[in-house]
Amino acid sequence: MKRAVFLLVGLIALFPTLTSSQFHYFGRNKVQYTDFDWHVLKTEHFDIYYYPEMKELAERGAYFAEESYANLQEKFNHNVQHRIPLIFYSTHLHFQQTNTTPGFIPEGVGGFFEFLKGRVVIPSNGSLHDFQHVIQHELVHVFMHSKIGRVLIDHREDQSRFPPLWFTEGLAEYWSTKWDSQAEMILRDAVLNDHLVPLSEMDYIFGTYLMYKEGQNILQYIAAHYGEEKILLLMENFWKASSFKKVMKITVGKNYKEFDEEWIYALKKQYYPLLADNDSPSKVSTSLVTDGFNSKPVYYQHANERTVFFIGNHTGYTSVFRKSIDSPEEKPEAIIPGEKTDEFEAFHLFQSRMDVSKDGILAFVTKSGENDVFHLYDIEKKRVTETLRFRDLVALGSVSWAPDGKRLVFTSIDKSGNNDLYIYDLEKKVLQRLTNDYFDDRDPAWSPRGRKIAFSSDRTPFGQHGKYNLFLYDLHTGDIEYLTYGDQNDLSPAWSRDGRKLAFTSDRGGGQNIWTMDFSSTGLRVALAETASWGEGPSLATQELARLPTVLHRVTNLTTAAFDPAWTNGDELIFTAFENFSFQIRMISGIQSLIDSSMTKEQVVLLEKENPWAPNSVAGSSEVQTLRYAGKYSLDIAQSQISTDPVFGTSGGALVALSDVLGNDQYYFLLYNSAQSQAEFLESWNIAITRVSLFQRTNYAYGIFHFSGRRYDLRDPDLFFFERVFGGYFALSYPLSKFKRIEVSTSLANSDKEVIEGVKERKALLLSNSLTFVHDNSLWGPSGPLDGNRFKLTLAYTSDILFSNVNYYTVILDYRHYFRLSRRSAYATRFWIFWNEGKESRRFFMGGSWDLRGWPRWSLRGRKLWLISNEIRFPFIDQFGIRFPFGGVAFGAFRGALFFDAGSAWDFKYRQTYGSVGGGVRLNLAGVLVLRYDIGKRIENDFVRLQEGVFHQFFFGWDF
Amino acid sequence: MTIFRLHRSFVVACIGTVLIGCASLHTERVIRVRDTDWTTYGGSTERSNRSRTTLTPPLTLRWKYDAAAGFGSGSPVAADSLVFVGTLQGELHAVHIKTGERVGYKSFESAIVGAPVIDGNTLIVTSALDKPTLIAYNVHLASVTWSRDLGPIETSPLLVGNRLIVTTLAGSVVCVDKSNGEELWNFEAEEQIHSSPASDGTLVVFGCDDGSVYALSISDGSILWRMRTQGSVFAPPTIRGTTVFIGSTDNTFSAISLMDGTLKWKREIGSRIYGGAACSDDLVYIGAANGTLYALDVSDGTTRWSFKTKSVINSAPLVAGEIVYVGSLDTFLYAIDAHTGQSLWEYRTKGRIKTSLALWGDYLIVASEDKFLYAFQPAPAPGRLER
Repeated sequence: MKRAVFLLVGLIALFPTLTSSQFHYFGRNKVQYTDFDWHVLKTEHFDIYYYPEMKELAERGAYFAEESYANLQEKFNHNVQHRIPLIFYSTHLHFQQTNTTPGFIPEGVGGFFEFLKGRVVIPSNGSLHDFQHVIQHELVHVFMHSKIGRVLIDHREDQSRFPPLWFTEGLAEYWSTKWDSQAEMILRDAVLNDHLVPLSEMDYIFGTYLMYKEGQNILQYIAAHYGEEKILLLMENFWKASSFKKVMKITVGKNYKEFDEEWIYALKKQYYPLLADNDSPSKVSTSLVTDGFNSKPVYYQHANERTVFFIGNHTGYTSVFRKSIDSPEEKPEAIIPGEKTDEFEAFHLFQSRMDVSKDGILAFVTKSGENDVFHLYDIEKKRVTETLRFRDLVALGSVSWAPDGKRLVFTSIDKSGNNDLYIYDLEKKVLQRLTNDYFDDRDPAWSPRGRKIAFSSDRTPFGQHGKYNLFLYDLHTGDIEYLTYGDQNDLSPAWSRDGRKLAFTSDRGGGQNIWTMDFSSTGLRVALAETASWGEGPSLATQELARLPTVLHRVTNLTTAAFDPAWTNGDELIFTAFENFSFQIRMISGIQSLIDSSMTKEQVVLLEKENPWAPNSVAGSSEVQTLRYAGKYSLDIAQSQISTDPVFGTSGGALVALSDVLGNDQYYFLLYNSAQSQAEFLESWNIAITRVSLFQRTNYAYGIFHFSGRRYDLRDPDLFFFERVFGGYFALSYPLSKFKRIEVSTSLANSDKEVIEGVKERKALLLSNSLTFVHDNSLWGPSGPLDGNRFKLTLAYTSDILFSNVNYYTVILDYRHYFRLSRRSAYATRFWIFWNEGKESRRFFMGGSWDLRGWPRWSLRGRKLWLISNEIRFPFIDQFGIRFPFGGVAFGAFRGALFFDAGSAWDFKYRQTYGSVGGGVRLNLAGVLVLRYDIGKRIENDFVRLQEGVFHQFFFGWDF
Repeated sequence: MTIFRLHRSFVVACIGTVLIGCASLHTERVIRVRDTDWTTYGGSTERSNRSRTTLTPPLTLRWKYDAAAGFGSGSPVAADSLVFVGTLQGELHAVHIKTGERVGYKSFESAIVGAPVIDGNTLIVTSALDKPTLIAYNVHLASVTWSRDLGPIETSPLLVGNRLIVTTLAGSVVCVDKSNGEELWNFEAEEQIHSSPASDGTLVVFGCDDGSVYALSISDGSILWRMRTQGSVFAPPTIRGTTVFIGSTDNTFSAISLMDGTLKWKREIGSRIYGGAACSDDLVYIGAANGTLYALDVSDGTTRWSFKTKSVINSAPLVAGEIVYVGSLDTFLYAIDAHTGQSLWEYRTKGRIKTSLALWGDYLIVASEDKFLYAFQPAPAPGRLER
């Protein structure tokens, strides 16, 4: 949304007669669904921005931040001398609305540090431990940025350098968290499956999670083998060499290749012995789905047809898939295609477990509008029968059906940031909250008998270190009973159909495996010493002696990890397995015999009750001050520039951009002078002042401008002229959803035009109004869209309300559709109709690599224009490199295209139809620029003759 | 055209000024060194960071000198009314201590991290990169007397009699003849050395990144003892009588017998120690990364008092009679009662203080991260006219 408005404003500022412009844009919208009432909490080192609903979370976050600051200033031997702005959101969905960054924030981003204003932006995911981890992770970036900058300033070195990403992210992880089972899973898989990327080749996995974890492991290794202080010295020695490889050599005594030899050898030595006792998932389980990323499987059987439903991403869009278990050759079918429509805007791939009721109703979560919603999908009828929205619940987690199929238990994060258990009765339409505290409750599973709900939570004392245990919620008494108790992560409980067994995953002993507990052989559990109260929720049943399972059995012993176990109707478990850096859906059979033969059993030990852990907070501290946020502006851009053009002469000027700390309010000031002689100086000022407001769902921008100078304008009927134009404008953009928006704009401008000095002049007071509808759900590949569609319709009217010199209407219709042919190939089509009709109406133009290929760039001009483009996009060369004796050059993937274009442009009388046919290659450079080369034949002579010879066109730009 | 001529004249003048300034560092007169001068880091070979002169706060800022680059961990040094300071840009500046005016400056190869040593007219300077890295520069003759390439050095040299000892990032301890730079002996440690050496006249003591504290014979460089800690030792040792005081990044501060390297006592500080200590008769003062200055009993290490600053202390405190001065990354210079730990005075510079302090006469010299050298003197007593 922000981008859309920004572009709109830029467009208006430069071209007041917007309606005639063909530089129209698509793009999705970052919708400001929620009205945040921002407040500021001031601590010793931080300005913490929060909204009142999450005040307690903000005060806890403030404590974590100050604690991290004290910790990091010792580690860095450095402090940060400015106040650090920390912007908190209570959920990831709120975080995705932030205007502190113009881009969209993907599901997996847990927070970020923004260099320009030094802002740290962090959401909660319901876990206070994760919140603390992310705060410290981002503060490591803040400290490193400050430290490296200081080292370079002290040595009077250029400050534009920064350490490589593997180091910055690796250190942020290393100094903010412990090496956990997830990190272990990634490294084990990389080493055992031979896709560990050496430090010397880290650029190949730039920005990936594997790079984060390898970076963390490398720094952990350096600290263990060369001393913790080497990490600090890597930063303090940063001035000594222009390449970090040399800094490493100076500090550790080894260059990347030398380091790789010993590091990789040490990893092999550590992980290869695992193969003696552990197995790869593919060796001990049946493969159901291996392509793409898959998670959260759930089993359903109708008659003899056994089916698994899961959330997967196979094509770039995350969707719900269905797969027959007994037909291995059958491909998974996307039954709910996600991320294209308003109802299924986004899935939480690794977060929200689905469930199927006894009646065949699949319950699953998507983001839809402001919050998450539940959809109930009738498997037999193959349609969504109901969508459940809860006004006060922002993010929804895993869901489980009651045995009667009339109620759902689920977890949800409200605006406070707490993740709690809820029950929703579908018949009575009543929502009941089961827990209400700061503990993170996850993955509820309703027992088949209906009285108890198993769930995972960090409510044991180990929870403050990020560990989760299993609990039972008794619906009759409201009591919570311990099922497990210890310093491990016990997650994703799943009842067997008969309710006798509970499968779950646990990282006891290192890797995350599937374990079971058997309720048919319960024992007398150790009673806890005292009753404890869990916040405002139900009390813990600690006085009574409970008959619960006392022995746990491990049923898998994988080299990597298992997630989300789900029982079939028989003696099998379906689960997500991690292998070869992919998440696969797999099935393991003979569970009872695995339990019986399990070599690893564990006694459940409930220790004497410790008091429930309570997070620290800055609440009540005299050093803390709370204020209402009132806007704090600082510079984004301050740039001066002088340019010289052989036709338009020399012009010089400046651009200044200001915005507030939340990025909601932006001001742009443009000033330059285009005088070519001293006499023209005063009348040649070009000024534009713009304000953009992104604070609310309806974004708006307004401004004033004065432009004066010679212009060469392809869209103007007079082409080359002098114009002095001044006026103001207002633009408004309302996002209907992430994919659709309506734009309205109006501008009033006084335009004095001289086409031939003193001979042909035109005065006008131009009023221009436009209304636009935009739709965009396209999915992009390396050179352009591969899936989805884009649509734009603009209706506009421009008139001279003073002299009637100008009077025309505009229709712009642009439709593009992308048909997916395979994962990396697509057929793309585009249709344009641009229509300007009336007095002094402006022209459109085309020709060249961006539209009508083969014809000279922008050579076809007219008040009316149509175009049809057809293109097949496909991978051409996946890797291309040249190795010289002294080094090598590697290029990214080349993509290919076959195209056919047809179109025409005319003023009053249709002249002829133009066309072209050919092929081309595209090369994406670093994700920011696509180089394109086309070769083909023009279709000439009113579309009846092919060009003699061929044309070649080399240009840049994304595919349409 | 007129404008062009003016510009050209201005540019020529600027270039001329710069060239005059950077041509050399040359003192008009011979430097006469007295016992009370601060000629080396810590004020003495024992690195005691102590002066008998009581510098009673409040202090008054006498002058500020712009060195145009950051400073290393080693302190400025001063003798005969001249203060010398090296910068991380590799320049050695000489400033008149009473006026703050520049006497001159000399560019060396790379960053000067350690404090120089004043030996009459000769200044011994170390360099953190490039070649050479140990230079004897005669400031009166404005010429390099000799130089050696010993690999990168980020510590302060130690001058004991004719012997000049340096510790290097290559892990070497090298003793050279101060008159010609010829090597007398060499000792190889197992890791890089970021700790400046100290000596009682017979032993050379230093810490090493390998976590050990070493003692070598000053006569032949043979190892006499080695005491291990659990973290790299970046801090320079301080010798008082028969005891070596030294902090480690393993969060401890130790008192070690100078004679045999046995541990006399060890204090768990709970925070890394990067900087050196200062000693009075009965107390040893040490700053830690948690921002606290500790006054410990020299006999058993018990804490007599502690003083909390707002950020990391990574430079050595300085004892001036009854007052302890210490700088912190919180940008403040603090004056604290040496006996009670009571804060007496503080001054905020415009940058972090991460360079050890120096004292000459009643001038306290402070190098701040804002690239300025600050000179303080006691404020005149009430009723007395300040000159």
